[in-house]
Amino acid sequence: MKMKKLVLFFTVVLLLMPGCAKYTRKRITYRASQALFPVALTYRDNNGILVSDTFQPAGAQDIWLKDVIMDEGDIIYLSGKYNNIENSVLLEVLIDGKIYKQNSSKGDTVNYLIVSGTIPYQNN
Amino acid sequence: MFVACIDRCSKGCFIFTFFLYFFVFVFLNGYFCKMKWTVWFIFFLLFVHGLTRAQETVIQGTVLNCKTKEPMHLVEVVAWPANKGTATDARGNFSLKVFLSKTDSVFFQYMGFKQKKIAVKKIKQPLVICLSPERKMLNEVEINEKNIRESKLYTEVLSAKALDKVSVVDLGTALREVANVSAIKKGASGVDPVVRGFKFDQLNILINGAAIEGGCPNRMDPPTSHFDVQDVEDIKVFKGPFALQYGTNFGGVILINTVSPVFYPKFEAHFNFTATTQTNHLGNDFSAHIFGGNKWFYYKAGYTQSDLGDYKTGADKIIPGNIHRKGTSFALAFRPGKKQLLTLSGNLSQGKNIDFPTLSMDERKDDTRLYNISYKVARRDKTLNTFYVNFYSAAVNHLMDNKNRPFSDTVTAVSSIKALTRGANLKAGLKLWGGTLGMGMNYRNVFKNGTRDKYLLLQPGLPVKSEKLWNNASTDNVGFFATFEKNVRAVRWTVAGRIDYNMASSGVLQREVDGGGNDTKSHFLNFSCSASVSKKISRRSTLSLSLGSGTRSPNLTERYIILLPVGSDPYDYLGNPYLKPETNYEVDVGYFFHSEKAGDVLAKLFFSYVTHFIGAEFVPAAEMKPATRGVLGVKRFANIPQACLAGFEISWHTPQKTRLHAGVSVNYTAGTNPDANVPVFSYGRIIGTKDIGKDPLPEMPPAECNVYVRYDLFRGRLVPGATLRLVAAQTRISKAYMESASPGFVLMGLGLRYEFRKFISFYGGVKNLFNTNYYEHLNRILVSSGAPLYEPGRIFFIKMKVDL
Repeated sequence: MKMKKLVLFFTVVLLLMPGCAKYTRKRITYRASQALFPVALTYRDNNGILVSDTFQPAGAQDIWLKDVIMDEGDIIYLSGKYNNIENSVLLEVLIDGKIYKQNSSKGDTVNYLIVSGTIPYQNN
Repeated sequence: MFVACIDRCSKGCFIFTFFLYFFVFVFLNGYFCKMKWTVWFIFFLLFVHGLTRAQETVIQGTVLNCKTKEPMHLVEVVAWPANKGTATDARGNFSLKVFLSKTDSVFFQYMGFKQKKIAVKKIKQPLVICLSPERKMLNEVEINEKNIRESKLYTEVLSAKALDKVSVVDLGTALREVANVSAIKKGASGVDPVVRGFKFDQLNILINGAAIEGGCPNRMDPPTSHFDVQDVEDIKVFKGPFALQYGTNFGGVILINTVSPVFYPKFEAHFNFTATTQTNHLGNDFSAHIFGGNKWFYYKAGYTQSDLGDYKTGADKIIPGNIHRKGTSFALAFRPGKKQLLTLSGNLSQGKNIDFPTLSMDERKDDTRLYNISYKVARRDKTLNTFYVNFYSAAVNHLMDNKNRPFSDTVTAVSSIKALTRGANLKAGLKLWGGTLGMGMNYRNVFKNGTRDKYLLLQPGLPVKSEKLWNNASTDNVGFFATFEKNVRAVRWTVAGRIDYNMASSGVLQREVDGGGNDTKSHFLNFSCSASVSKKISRRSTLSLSLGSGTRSPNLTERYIILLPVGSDPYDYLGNPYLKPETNYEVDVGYFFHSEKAGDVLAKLFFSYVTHFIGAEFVPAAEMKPATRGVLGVKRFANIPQACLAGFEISWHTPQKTRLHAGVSVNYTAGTNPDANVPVFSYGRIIGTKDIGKDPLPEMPPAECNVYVRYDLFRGRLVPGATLRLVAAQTRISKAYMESASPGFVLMGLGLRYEFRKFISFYGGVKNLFNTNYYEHLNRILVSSGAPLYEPGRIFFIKMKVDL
């Protein structure tokens, strides 16, 4: 009987322990907006792979969104490039819904527009 | 069992104290989640274990001279094989508190008298022992390594009891308690000890006989960084190149012991728990250990956790100081025979998000695993009286990055390094020719491999540049040693010698800038030797003289590092596979005075002459450009023909038996490079060098004086104390290494120890009482501002220890 109580106690303890683990995962949202014409986008996913996509806005109010789950310290990267000199774009990276970094360009068909960085460590 | 234990230990008080502390801890830190975990862990241990109170055996008695019937003073009383001992006082009385089995023995020995052995089962207290004078005493008195090497003239010991009085987490910082031991600090953790000006691989640091090579080229993770102070049973420091049986010894040996098996007559189980919390550098340190066994086996398991945040300096400036470290340890010991001991132990340590503001990166993750197996035979009366062998393996996986630095928005650098250390030690002790001959061998293999990935964040396509920090670099060292110790006419002689064969290799140094040197192999045959003599010049005074030479081969960093700023100055360093070993020729003179009334005085002087001193030379910019942003140029490790170090340590301590405990120690070390040079710049680039003659060696600690006072009240249950640390300004600075002078400072601390019950004690106090804004001379420079790394301002701390 005593042994059973001990086993039960340890089981409860072991079940409770993981509940105290620090939650370090973050929801990263890559967002592109304010574009009138197509923009070639590249973003870094949760596996560290660069994924290419094209933002084809139907209108100026159209928004391109991509959500990924990443850990603190992971590198975030979103770049955009367009060929139409009348185009513009606003690139943003949000961490858990809050804007972390943003950058915009208008009529620049030469340079890549890049928003990048690392997810800050909350503990520090 | 738990309830029974609490009954015995005054249940009400225990529970009250426990919960009082729990709430203090929670409210001080706000780490409820962690505390919950911690408390669960304690209950886990308590229930698993079925606590019983410690049942130490206290042996008390008197030792008399059989011939004169007078009490004998300073007779050595040693319990065997527990190897714990004491000495008789002026009235011949002794009291020895030790865990003993009925099969164990207690030895009484005194120079000039016949040794006496009493079996524990025959002891009837109070014990009265008489020792007979022995004509052939020189052959009968055991002169073993312990007697000679561990006398105060040769060894300084930090016991677990002494470490209890230290409210720090880092072992490197705790080692500062030893005279003339300072430390190089680069961040929140990983404080690297410096003994008499010797540092890094000039010191042989062993944990339970095992070596650990860290992964970081900049020594974020020195061997001392992987262990919590609460894990440690004792630390021994051998200064100078005299103790040659532990491996290559150039400037000193530090032995850290975390396992001291104790065997009990009947099965016993024990538990201890320590928790420390502090203001400023806010956080807590927690440890819990279970241990016990019976007369045939012993076990120990422990868990430690440290979580500290940033700290404020005396000028209220915030310095990054995060530490998150946890460790688990275990040990199992068996006695296959009465005089044999087989021990298996493991230490697993994990560090996470530790700040190093003086380096270009922080420690993101460190996973260290040390496993050790040892076998020991101790037969006191046989020719082959001791035999010891151990095998160990230490694996370090070290990850660091610059993600918390402002420039990581441009280039994020991540370094991942794996370091493996494997080795073995074999020792045999023989009673021969009226003395003790020790001989054996040490083997150590170190392997390192690692890369640094640079993510160029502002470039299209996120290109990643990968470069080798270590390219399968390895070194093997095998050494054979012999020591002989003997008493001749009341003079103790020790001679030792060792021979080491060292070989190292690395994969091709892939950078184009390495000068094309693809032949990375090197091998050396090194000889070391030492001789020590100590003579009791009067009833209370002993004089010693030691001469020795210790040779060490260059380490992997000095041989193979590829353009990293690993020094104290702002230069990229390049390894040099063609370095020669450096040799330390040292002479030590020691004087020890012991008086029951006046206390103990210890004075030591030393002088070191180092040949082929491993320093660095400037590399013209035309030959090589640096790879790190912000550095002034490149230096290549090189042998400096000669260097000298000299210094002293003087200390006085009150007698142990008085209620007032006080002590003063003063120490100083100076080092000189007689033939230094400085770079000549032209338009910000090094174009050559200029001789400047004599130049102080870099990273030498300034003169320091430490004072402490404690007073035992209520039979030692309440002990108030104060410490004073006076550190002189360091103006002997190296021009060649662009050192800056550091100001002197005075620190005061107050502490109060309270033994609430025999099994619960509290220790609280304040460090840096006057909130002095200061930094140690050996602290490195902040990368962000170029300012020195200032130490924390005033810190209030409280520590609770439960020992059941």
